[in-house]
Amino acid sequence: MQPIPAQVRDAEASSHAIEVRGLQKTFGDVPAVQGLDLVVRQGESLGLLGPNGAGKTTTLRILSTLLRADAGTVRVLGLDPAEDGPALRSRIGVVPQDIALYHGLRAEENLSLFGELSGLRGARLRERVEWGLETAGLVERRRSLVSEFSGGMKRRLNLVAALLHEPELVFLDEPTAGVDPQSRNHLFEQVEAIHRGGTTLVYTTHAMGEVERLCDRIMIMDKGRCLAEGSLEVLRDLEEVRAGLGSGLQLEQGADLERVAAILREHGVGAEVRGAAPDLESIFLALTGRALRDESQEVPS
Amino acid sequence: MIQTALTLLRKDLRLFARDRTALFFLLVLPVGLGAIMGTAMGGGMMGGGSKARKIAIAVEDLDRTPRSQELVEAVRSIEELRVEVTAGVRRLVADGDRAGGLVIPAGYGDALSSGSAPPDLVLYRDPAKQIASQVMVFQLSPVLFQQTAKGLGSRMMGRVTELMDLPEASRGAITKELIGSYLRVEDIMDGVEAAAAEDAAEAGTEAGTEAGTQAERDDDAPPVTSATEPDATGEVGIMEALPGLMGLQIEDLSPPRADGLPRSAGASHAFSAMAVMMLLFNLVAFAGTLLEERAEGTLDRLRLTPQAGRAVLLGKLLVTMLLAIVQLVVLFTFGALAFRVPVMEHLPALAAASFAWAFAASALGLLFATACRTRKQMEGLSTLVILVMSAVGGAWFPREILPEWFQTAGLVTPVAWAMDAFHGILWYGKGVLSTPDLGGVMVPLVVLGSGGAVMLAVAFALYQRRFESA
Repeated sequence: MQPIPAQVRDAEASSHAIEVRGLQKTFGDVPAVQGLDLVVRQGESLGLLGPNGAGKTTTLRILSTLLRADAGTVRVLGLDPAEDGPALRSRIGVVPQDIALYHGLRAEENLSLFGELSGLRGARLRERVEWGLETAGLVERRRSLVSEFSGGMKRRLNLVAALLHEPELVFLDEPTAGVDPQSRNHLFEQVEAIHRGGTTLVYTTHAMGEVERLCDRIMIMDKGRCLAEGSLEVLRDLEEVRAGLGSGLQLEQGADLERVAAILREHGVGAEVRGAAPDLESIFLALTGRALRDESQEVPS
Repeated sequence: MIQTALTLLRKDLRLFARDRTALFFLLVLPVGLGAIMGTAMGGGMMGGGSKARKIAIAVEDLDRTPRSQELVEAVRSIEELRVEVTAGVRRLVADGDRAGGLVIPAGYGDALSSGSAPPDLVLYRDPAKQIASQVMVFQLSPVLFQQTAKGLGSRMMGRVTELMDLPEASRGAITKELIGSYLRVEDIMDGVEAAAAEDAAEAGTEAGTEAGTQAERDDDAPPVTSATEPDATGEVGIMEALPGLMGLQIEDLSPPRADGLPRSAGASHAFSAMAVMMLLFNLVAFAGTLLEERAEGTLDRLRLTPQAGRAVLLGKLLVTMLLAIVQLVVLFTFGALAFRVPVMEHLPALAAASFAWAFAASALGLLFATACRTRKQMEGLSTLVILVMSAVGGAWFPREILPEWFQTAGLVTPVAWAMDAFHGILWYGKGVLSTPDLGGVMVPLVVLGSGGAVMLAVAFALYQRRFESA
């Protein structure tokens, strides 16, 4: 086998936002990540799926400089998270699973704080705080304390606080957990918008529908290892996946469904045309509308 | 209804039993503090009684004769006193380093040998250590009497007739009668000695409980007083007169205030103690927000910004110090206005002490925050440590009434040094630097500063290990 020329290797590497080889991390005797390999290309959106304890959050924490790996090589945007922390942090954004905001500060005070700590100053800082409030739909509530916000409002603020410095790569750790469908939809649209703008995303969630809708590629993890990886189509074609599914008939877009059903019936195959069954969230949004519901948590005494 | 209440009771008991902090506050803290208070107040574990505390007294022998040496050895033999023979005892007492200082004047031995009245011994006392002073006089009285009685007969009798305000004409006869009875006085003094020993032991046992009310008594202490001065009615009680009869002149050293107002040891101690203890509680609680931020995830978010890094801990240090300074300013301003605590007397020294204590207390708070895993764990541990440090460091009651090993143990706590600094400034009127007449508070300030630096270094190391690499 011919060795890969250095120029080709460098060119490939430069197109990788994340490159991980043999990543390992153990907490005490419990292995959290065991020999994980992972590549994410620039501008790509990777969905990281797995049950609780699969190692998703640990992997994100290592990639985002919060945790040191025990073994393996990690390059994020060409930098080593363990060695180049400050340089890397100015180029990445992390939306944590927890609502990591100061509840005793106002919405705009939270954004100003994190914006300033991300290196923004003066007019640029004010401009980005304004953008954050608009994106989160909280312009009217800019002077409200976060403690007065509903769960959905906090989640939206939690998201934009990680995006103020316009990072090239964003890690999102269950960003829509525990919010109402309107806020989830709003959050999701914001995430889609930043991805369309060319930002690389690594997205973990338990909501499979979100990954289907957003991610170019999916990695399924369990017990610290990668079980499968690829596009949704690639995963659907996996032998162990196909073995567990029933069979179906796929028609081309625009096919005359009534005619196809009639032909099938002529050949003794029972068939009828029905409208596509919407999922529950679509039903909920159709009935309650897509507008944000920003009621605060304050309970009248 | 009862069944439901019992079900809820079982639920609460289960939850309580699994809450280590609650168990700590319910069971461990009161027992631990009870043990400390009991030991401090003179009780011993298992009914054994603790070793009697010793009162530190300095003796200066200006006479240097066999008779004065004899007196020094007699004073040394008093078990309840820790005697140090040294020069400059007045300064030691004025500095607050000793509860009392006895000076044997030159000519003392010659006068005794020749049978004439010896010059007065001088006992310097610190009015801020009134209980120790009382114990000291009780212990010294019989010894001094025994040592000086033989040469004091005529002076004693003259003083007695003077005090009794007898007519001049009849004094001679009465003096003769009294001298005739003199030998019986020695027998009486044996009884006095025994009673004094009993009183001293009692005074020592009650010292702690009296400490709280000492402030009121100290308030009445004039700047420099003689213990044999008549009271408001012009009469002198026998206990007040006794030292004079023995040729002992007592001088209470209380530095005069520039504004002429009387100095209050009680108020000085109270505001020093509040400055020390309450600051610790507040700062440790505030430093605990570090653990809260970790639990809430905001600390990680700060760490994820390119500019935070270790500035997180530095920021906590600065804000805790700022809060400490604000608290001290409010406290001392109130003390100055409401209790005439002399905060303006040595303002630079007070500012330096406030800064040093704010630094040391903030560093201690950060040490707690970085050493503990959870806020609840920190609350339990810090409460115990702060209360113990306050007890042995002299914030609850003056250190000199504590057993000797307690006093020594107190020196490893920042509380003792902070109390020395604040009380030294507010009561003894010390500045930062020593003067020919008075010591300064430089040593406590240096100890607080260096101790704070060490605690801060450990806190930074723990932060790096437990917060940044976790």
